Amino acid sequence: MGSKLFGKSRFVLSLFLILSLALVVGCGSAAPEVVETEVIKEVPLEVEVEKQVIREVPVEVEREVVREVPVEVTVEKEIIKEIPSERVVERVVIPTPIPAQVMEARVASERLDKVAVAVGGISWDSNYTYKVNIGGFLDKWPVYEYLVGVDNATGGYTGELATEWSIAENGKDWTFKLREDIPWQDGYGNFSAEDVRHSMWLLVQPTAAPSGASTWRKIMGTSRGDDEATTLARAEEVVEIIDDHEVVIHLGIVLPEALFNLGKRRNMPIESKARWDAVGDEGMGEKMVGTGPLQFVERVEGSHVLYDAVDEHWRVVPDYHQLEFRAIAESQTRLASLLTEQVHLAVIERAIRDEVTSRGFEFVSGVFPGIQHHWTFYGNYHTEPETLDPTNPMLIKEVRQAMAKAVNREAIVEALLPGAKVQIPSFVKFTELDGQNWPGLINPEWSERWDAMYGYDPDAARELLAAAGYADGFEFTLALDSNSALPEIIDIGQALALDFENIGLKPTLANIEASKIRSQRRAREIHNTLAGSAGYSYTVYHLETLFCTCGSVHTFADPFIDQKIDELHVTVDATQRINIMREIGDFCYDNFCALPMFDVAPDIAVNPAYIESYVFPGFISGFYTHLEYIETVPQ
Amino acid sequence: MQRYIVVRLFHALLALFAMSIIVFSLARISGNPMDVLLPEDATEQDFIIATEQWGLDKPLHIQYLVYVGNVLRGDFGTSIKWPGRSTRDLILARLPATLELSALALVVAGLLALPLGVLVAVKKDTGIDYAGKVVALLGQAAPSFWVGIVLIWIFAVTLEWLPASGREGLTSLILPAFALGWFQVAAVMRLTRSSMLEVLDSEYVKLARIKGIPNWKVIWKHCLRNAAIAPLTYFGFILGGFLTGSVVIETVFAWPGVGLLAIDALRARDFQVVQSVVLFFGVVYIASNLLVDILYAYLDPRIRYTG
Amino acid sequence: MANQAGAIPSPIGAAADRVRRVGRWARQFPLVTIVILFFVLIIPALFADQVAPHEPTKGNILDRLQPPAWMEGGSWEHPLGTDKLGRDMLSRIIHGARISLTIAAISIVCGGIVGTTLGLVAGYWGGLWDHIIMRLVDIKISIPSILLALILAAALGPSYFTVIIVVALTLWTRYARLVRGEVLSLRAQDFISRAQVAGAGTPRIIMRHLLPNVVNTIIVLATLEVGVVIILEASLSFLGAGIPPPNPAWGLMVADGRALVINAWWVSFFPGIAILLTVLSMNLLGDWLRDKLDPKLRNV
Repeated sequence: MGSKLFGKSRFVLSLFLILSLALVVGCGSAAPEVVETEVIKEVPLEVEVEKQVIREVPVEVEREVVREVPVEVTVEKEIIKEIPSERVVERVVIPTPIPAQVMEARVASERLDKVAVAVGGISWDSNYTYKVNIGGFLDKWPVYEYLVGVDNATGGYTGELATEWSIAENGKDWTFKLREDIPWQDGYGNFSAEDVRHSMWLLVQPTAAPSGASTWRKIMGTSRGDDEATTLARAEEVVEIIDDHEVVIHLGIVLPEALFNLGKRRNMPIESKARWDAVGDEGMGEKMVGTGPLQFVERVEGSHVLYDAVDEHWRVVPDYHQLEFRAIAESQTRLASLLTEQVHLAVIERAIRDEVTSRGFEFVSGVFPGIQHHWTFYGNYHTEPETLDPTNPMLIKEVRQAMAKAVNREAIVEALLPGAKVQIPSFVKFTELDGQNWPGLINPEWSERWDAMYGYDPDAARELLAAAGYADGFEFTLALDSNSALPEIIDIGQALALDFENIGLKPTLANIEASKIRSQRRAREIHNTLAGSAGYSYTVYHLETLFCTCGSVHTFADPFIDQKIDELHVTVDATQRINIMREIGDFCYDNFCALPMFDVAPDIAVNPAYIESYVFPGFISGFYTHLEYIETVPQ
Repeated sequence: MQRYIVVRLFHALLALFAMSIIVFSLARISGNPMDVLLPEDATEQDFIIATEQWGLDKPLHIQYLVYVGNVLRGDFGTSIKWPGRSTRDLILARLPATLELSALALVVAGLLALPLGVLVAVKKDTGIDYAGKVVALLGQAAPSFWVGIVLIWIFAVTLEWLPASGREGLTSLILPAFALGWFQVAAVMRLTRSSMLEVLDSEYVKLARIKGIPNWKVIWKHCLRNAAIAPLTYFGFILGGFLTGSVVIETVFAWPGVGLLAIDALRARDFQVVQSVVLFFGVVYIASNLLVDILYAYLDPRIRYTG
Repeated sequence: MANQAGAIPSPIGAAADRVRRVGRWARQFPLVTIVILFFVLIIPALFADQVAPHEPTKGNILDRLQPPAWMEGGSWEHPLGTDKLGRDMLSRIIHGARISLTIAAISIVCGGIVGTTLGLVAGYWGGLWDHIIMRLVDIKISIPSILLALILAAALGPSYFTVIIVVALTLWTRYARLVRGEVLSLRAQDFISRAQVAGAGTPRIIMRHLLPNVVNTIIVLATLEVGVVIILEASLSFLGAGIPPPNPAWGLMVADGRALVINAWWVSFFPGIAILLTVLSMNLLGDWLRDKLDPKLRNV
């Protein structure tokens, strides 16, 4: 039986011959097949194209950055204003809002039927705004509006549901004038001061779990576990209603930067009180109801969220009738969906950018490089000496500097983020945008000394290592997390490992999720580990969470920073605050508190046959905001 | 017969019970959901309170008893990742998508594997036998995500016949069902082949041939009908394969089924959902096997089952 | 039918002759399979350090995405080109064979030992043992292996160890079921009861009479499982729970390179071919072994 088994199988034989031939050719032990010449001609051409594009990138980036800086800078102007005597305040500072961008509506017949956006996933696939963190707001931005919005081109604060605002001298009392005649979707009446109080209360009531929950509780003067009645009472005290269209918010803490918290950036969406009274906590999960230019149609969990454009809106009536977010986890499938016109915008890996553009698609980058990428040296808990691991080489400043200087950032950017809008050098969390908002925050010396302090120089890095007593290098963990805002971080980590090996270090790569690292951070159990992070940020918030013992999940703490942050908490004057923050920056810069890499602008591939322009700031969580301002190609 | 069914049901319940313990403990060791649920700046106090709110501060055996008690009342817990949604509703909402996919994948596997199995059995030890085997094995010889991506590139991007992703009508079902089905073709084909070989060898087939019934009729009508029983008895296993395979295939094709739900939940450490999905898969698997066995025993009284 | 047609004297004698010649050669078919396996899996795995031209995890990012040598822009320095971090593809594939073979070998041996032991116990002693073990098998089979793997990877962190544990956990049930079935049918045969009557102890019966008779089944199954292991490892890598980078595991390389499938096809194609050839040949070899060693074992 067995001997006849493989009889007369010419077919199989030839198949196997072909396969083994492919293998032999693959192993390089046979001469190249002539049949393959056709393939040979095409691919290298593409490779060359890729190289050209890469070479152009730095120039492009520089040009764009220079262009953007002078555009409409938000300057805080101090204006003295008369106030009714019963309010204790003497002097009021009024930052002038940029008027919200108003776009003229296009004739309905010229609008595109539907704009579909393919994203990797809807990270909090829920209709609740106050039970999810800001990372899950991608699908909520279209529906909700804020007291303070963000201008899509300049990143400045715009008046959205508030028309004017001012802050009292004590740094705590904010007055907002509210926009009138703004209807709620679904017929819940018009927006009024009650809704502001309600929206703030929502963020601290028992079922809430927003981002920055502890900050919200400080702002509202509540604590976790407070019941509904207590929080309601607090909300009434904090949000003083002058009339239907004016509120004074009495913050529990000094917060001259509160526009960040009370607006779109740190996410205080305005919800309707009338709706809450009608449907309650459970009903809020049924759908999203806001005042925005798009209204909720349906959500199929794990699949898509669909919106209808409203017919009339004070700000913008979209150029399309429907908007859809489609969750497509696999990036190849997103690409295929873009190519087959199932979607019009798609988040695509940067590595295959050329392939996409060569097929006639375009990439749109955020105006700002909102993905701030740095790596953290874990174990530097210098305010709690008992938690330090004395064998951790990363406690030594020279070691940290050596590692920073071992990294060839330009090569990594060129290889792994071709065509992306990247900014080097960037210093951890001190961004261009923050520099605009607080003139003087960024020390010009940082860039001047960059090459000497952080610039790529493996020889200097080896010398530093030797000086620190680690001439033979040391072993450490290099943690990779695939759930990052920068999916390329896995490759970047591997490239870093090669750079580190080059100066004699011995990294061990490990897949560790950010949430796991965070809990180890909380317990101060993570040592001698380098982990990458990529997020959008805001200086004050990140100084507190990353570099202050009070942050509880800090990555680098020092008594000096703690002392400065304490000062910050009681300082009202804007200039003084800026100075304190810059001092912290100086300290971190000189002590290599982290390993800065670069800032990347988020980008999205668009089909130019349908999408004419899309401008988004790129530093707001979820990145793809302001979709209502998309200009479509007239139909 | 009745006793047999009762005993089998008892076994099934026992298996489910043991499975719930395993799944429960696995889900608990897979990480603390509070790390994902709570914001970065959460304090120690926040953790303590949230842990209490979710009942995770109690000893594990108490947590387990509470869980089982709730499950028996039909309450599979509240999701962590999808606030305010009950786990049961989440699974039920995704169920039709996965069932559709598995059903069509079954059809695909059957349509490919049965004729192929017959063919390679009839042409045993010839080139066709081996070619058939290779075709069937190809579905298993490449990772299914890769097969899926290649199918998308061929049929959606290049030929533009079918949509690349999503769940919009029958056309979008074809590619994922094919990718899922092909993986099982080799197994089903092997079963068909071996039972076909047995049937071809049997007396009544020889008799039919002697009677002059055309060869094709003997093979496709008489033999296949009998040979198809063997793969049918493995229906439960094949279904189990589909459920496992759906995790990858649904991810590739953005098909919003239970498999994708499991992946999303796992990434968010939402073990309420994870353990319920695993339990649910287990129930489907055990129930379908049970059903097949009972049907089989019912149809074929020669088979005697003991305890 | 085909063989009948061959028996009829054909006027085209040369053609028939050729068919016969090819047929003779084709009888060596398992040899072809084994040759492929040798060159794709075994030699590279055993002599990776000697054979591979470069270190698999080292590379220069400036040399990234070089095409294979025979294409324009390629060089013999990197015969199969380089990946996106500039690592040599050929060396990675060669070292990948070692990883695949190690994982397959360890997990199959572990799963095989556990499964065989349990199967022997269940089949030989029967009764309560049989019940417990078969229920365990039921439970294990009804938990989807991918989900189990992901849960374990979440708990233990993705690593070699995790992958091996997961694969071994997935495999043991098949051995247990098959060995139990074999032992049950062996027990019904005379020679076992004769041995028992002759006073042979249980260990002796198991070692001398049962094991030698089930060893064929185990070998066939183990051969067929190699493919299962490699594919499972690839699926795990796709879902982010496989062998962690920068290890050159085949599955990881395919999963990693899938984004470049159009503009740098070689990054996923060559490891894909390695997987394809290995799985295909292992399966065909397994089929052949089964027909040869153990014809009644058809339902594996």
